Amino acid sequence: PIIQSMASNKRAQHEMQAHSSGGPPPPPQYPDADAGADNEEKPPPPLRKPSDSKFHQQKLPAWQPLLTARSVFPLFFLVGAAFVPIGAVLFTASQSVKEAEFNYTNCRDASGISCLEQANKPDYYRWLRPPCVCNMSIHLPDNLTGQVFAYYALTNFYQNHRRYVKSRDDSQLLGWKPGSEEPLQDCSPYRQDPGSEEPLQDCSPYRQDPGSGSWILPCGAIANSLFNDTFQLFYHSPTAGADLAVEVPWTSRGISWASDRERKFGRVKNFTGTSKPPNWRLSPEQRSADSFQGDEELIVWMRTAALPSFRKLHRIVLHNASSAADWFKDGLPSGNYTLLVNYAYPVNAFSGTKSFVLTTSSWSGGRNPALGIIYMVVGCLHIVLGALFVVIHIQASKNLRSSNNEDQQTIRPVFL
Amino acid sequence: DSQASIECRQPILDGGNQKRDCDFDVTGAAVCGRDLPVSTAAAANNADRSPTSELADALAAPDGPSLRRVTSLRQRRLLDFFLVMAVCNSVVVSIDQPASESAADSTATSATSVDSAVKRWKRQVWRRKAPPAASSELSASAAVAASAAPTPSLTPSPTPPTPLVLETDQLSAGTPEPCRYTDAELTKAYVAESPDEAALVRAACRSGCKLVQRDADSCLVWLPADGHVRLPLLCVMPFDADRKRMSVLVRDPATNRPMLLTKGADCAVLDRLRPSDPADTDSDADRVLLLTRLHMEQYSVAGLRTLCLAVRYLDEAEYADWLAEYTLAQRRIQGREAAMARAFDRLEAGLELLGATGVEDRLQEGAADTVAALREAGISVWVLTGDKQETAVQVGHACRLLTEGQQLLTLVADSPAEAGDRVRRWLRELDVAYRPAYQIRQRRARPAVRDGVALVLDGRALRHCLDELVSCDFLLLAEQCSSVLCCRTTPSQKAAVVGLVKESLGMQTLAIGDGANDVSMIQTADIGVGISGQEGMQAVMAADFSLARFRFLKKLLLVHGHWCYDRLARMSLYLFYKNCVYIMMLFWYQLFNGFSGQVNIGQVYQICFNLTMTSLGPLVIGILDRHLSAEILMANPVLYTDAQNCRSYLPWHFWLNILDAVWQSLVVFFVAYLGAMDTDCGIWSFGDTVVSAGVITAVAHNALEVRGWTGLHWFALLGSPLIAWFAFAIVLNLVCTNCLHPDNPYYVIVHGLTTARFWLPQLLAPVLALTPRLCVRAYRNTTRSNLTAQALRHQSSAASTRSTKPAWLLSPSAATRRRNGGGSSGDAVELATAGNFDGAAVATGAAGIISVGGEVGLSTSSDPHRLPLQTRPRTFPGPPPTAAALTALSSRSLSFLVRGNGSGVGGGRRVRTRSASSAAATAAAGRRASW
Repeated sequence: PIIQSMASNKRAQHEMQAHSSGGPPPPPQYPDADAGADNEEKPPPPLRKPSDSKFHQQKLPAWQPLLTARSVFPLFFLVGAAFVPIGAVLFTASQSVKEAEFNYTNCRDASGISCLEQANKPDYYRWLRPPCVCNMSIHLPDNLTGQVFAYYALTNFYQNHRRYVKSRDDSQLLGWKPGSEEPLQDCSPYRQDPGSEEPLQDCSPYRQDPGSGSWILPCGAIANSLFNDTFQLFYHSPTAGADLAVEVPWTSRGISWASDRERKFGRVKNFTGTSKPPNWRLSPEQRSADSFQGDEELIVWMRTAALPSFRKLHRIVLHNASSAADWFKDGLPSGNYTLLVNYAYPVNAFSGTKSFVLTTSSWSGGRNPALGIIYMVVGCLHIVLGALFVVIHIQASKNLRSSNNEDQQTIRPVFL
Repeated sequence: DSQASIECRQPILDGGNQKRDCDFDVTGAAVCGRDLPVSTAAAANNADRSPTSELADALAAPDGPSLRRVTSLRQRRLLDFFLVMAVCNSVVVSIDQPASESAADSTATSATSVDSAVKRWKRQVWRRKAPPAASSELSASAAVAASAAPTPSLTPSPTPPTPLVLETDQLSAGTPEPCRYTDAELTKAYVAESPDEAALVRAACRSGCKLVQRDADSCLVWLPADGHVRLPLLCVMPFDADRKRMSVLVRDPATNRPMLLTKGADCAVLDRLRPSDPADTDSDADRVLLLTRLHMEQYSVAGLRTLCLAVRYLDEAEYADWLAEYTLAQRRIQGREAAMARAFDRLEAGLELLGATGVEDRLQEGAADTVAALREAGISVWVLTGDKQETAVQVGHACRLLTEGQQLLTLVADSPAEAGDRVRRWLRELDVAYRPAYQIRQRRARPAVRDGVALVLDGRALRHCLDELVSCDFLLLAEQCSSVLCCRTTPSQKAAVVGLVKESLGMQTLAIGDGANDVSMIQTADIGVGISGQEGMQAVMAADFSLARFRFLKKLLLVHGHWCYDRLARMSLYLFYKNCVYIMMLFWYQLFNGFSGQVNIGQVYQICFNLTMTSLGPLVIGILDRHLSAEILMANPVLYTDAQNCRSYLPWHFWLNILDAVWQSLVVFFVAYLGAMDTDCGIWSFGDTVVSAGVITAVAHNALEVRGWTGLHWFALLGSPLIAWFAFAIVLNLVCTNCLHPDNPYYVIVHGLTTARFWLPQLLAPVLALTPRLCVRAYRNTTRSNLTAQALRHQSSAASTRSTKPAWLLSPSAATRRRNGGGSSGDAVELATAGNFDGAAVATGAAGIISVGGEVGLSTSSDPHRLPLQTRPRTFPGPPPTAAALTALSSRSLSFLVRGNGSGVGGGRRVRTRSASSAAATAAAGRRASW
């Protein structure tokens, strides 16, 4: 009875307090009296106990290898064993590529005028007047067997200069921009045909030129500086007599990336209202019927070179052309050739040189022995290192055995 | 008859004719007679029932003391002693709580509920603006008596005496009713903020004086002779750090007179006893005082925590007078705290000493082992405790902080000059060269610690040592000592010591504690660790890391701290490396484009090089990598010195790392360059070759740096080049027809993948670039003889000989789990903190560990803003410690401050959360006082 009276007493007190204060419920004292109070209590706060997963407790199983002489020397031998053959194969492949390079920078035309000086004159680049055509007699000491490619090579030409690289408008080249639409600002100063309304501070030669003010298509320094020497190669067959010169048949079709032709260079429907780049002699329509998709020399040129000395693919020799009979079926035979250069591109201003390159190719690309040599050197180095680490390993285990006796500070072993 | 029987028991009680001072060892489980040797008392802790509880027997005897018939002063004291133990606290009886919850180790949940129970009670007490003038709110069954009482009123009118208020109708009956709950139920139901309080109440309960219920205005107590007795609570004067005592004003149910029950530290109570009246020859107050002092000393030496219990009887006039003052004080708007303190002060005077209790504060399991491991790890362990010096020294021995045969330098000083003299004399004896403060911060190496010397000082001496004139010498001395023990420190002193070490010695400090009085210390230290558990949540809320047990500190520092340092060091080095490689790859290209600033790497690749292509690897290293297994680190605390001496990240590591990055970028760039020289290679094709070789090199470098390969490592390091670079680049090159002017990567990489020029450098460049690093790593791992290299080799050989199973199929923690009996969660260090500080706390915690490795303080000496110690104004958090606060027992915590070179640690023992702050946290109801 006492407990009951206590309980009822408590209940009465609780009720009284709850009514009078309206505050939080009193502390629960007895289960029976506080069933209601418990329900009113807030739910307990969410448990913040960290997860007991292996990830949270940093107990993910781990493989803990240690790089020691013991574990490393097989690796060195392995690398050596792999790299020396790779290098050798690479070197052989590179050596199998035959190439012939002819520097014609300083060639002279028939009247003995240096074309370099001629091309250096103002406006020569654009108008080619008077034309400078030089004949170079070249000799191929070896047969170039297989598919032969003709490159031109420029040196000291910084196609990778920051302002040069960005001076282009791909939308124009794709034919997406009609002639009336403004090209990218990056194309400046080869952006707009110099009209009176836009003075070109940087390009004074073009300021006097009374232009139409129309947009240049294709705009930009890259397009404007298009390489425009043209070549003809004649083969003097030893059997056919000295007078007979057979022109080597070649084509510019296929010198560019297929992806560039298909997706990055389109057909411009309408050139009206646009100007050609100031340095171009021919307009885009004149250069190719379906500009710019068909203008593969332009496509190749627009892919700017990585380094200041570069080559660009110019022509692919047609080995099965009917015009040349069977002369070039297996490549270019050794012998004497004449290279007829329509010399137009000035390189004097940047102290560059121009070359004409005939080369075959292999799976590893052109003739480039450097990588093969480095592969072999690195392979040999690793073999030496492997041997060195065998010695280190032996030495260290010897030291370990001898030092076990000394009472130096050691760690307590743990049996994992 | 009863008289005779009590007399008869006296010798047992008091040891011959000596009488009446009842002093108890309250060990949480056992109440021992005072005659028990101290060692026995300490050893008997675990016994469920006290071996000799004569006092309890006396209380429970059929003719034992009863409120109704107090026959002698002795009996009265016996009763009062137990009443103080049972009532003078804030323990709440929460009988409806599931026993398992309250009795279990205080997890976060139960702690919260306990917290709320105590808070609710406090709120009720607080809501009652003034103590009730009378007992009209008492039980209905007491209405007979209460009918004469006036209605409760706030007016401080003198209360007419109210007759006996007992909750039983059977006053006349010979045997009182039995207690309504069993001891076991009650023991589980006691909910206290402080385990000490719970221990006392539980001890009282076992002895027969049972606290049955606590309301806002009354306590229900069961006494063997009286049954249930309701004690009206007139006023509760809570514990605070200044007074260092707690008092409860109750109405004696028998006489209806007000009675003040006081419990407090010795210095807080003994000074306030009623002066003995020489005229009163009957008075034995002097003898009680003497004996109590003696026993308290014995208890302290045994490592027990002592408390004095005292009582004061008031008459109605005194009470009414005081109540008037108190009510006025409560109503004040300004200076209310001070006025209330004055009121308390006035009431808590003229006390009659009843006796003393000793609470054993057992070390938590593994505490001694942890302290020993920390010291082996080269961490200096300082203990900052609120306990008495004797207790603290005893505990220091128990936790192997102090060892036998150690020279204890005990610093006692009453003035800064005296403290300075003694410190300097010791310095001379130890032959330590004097150094000005600025030199201490500048020096590179820490002096060797002398194992034979330990420094002990109390709060007063500490206050003088913190004086600007002495602090430098004090620190010089302290860092020579293998351990430093500061007793009787206040919370602000703790923070000041941590701050002094941090600032003046340029050390990384870690403070660990579990109570509210450790909060400022925890916040001052570089790393604050809170122990969650019986003392509440305040320390945890303020801490960067929260632990459930002190012993987890060992794992936190030696394993997680070491891992963290090693990971972050290697990750930082790698981040520097990869940025340098990337920048240098761009730089070498400038040599070939007229320094025009053109980059060969496409703009998206530039962004992604750091963002995706090489980001997962360092992240995985920084989060998951483990260079040594936890078992090895735990078994060899000395390996932790690596982190202290920054051996994973030295200046030459940085420069060599940068040099390596330059070399690697050279290799990557020029191998690609040789492949592209004199060809028709376009700028973006060339860039793809370079960046691809760069990514593979950087990831391979990352792989060399990985020490423990988990599945995530494989994913990150294989995924970075394959997915983040190749797959990403191919997809980008396929979809980006006319975009990203000027690089426009359409089909560039697809075209590149078909050329040998692209592929050949991908193999050559990484191998050649990483050869030097591989050689150095292998060479050093093979030939170095330091402990870390030994441990690495041991781990490697142990792993290879362990089984034929592939290593990655075996969990390295299998051994641990076996040792811990399968429960891995108990061993888990809580890396998240409780409370509302999750994100911030984890973040600062991580930062703290980062700085474990770095000698941050050493490089700042040239800073003109950092004045020499003597002239720099120092600000301490909190009010400056006063002399009164220092001499009094303000807090009873024992906390560790651990310092080490470039790392720091602190530890905490236990604390009372009886500070005035109402946000005091929780206590576990069912456990003994323990660490």
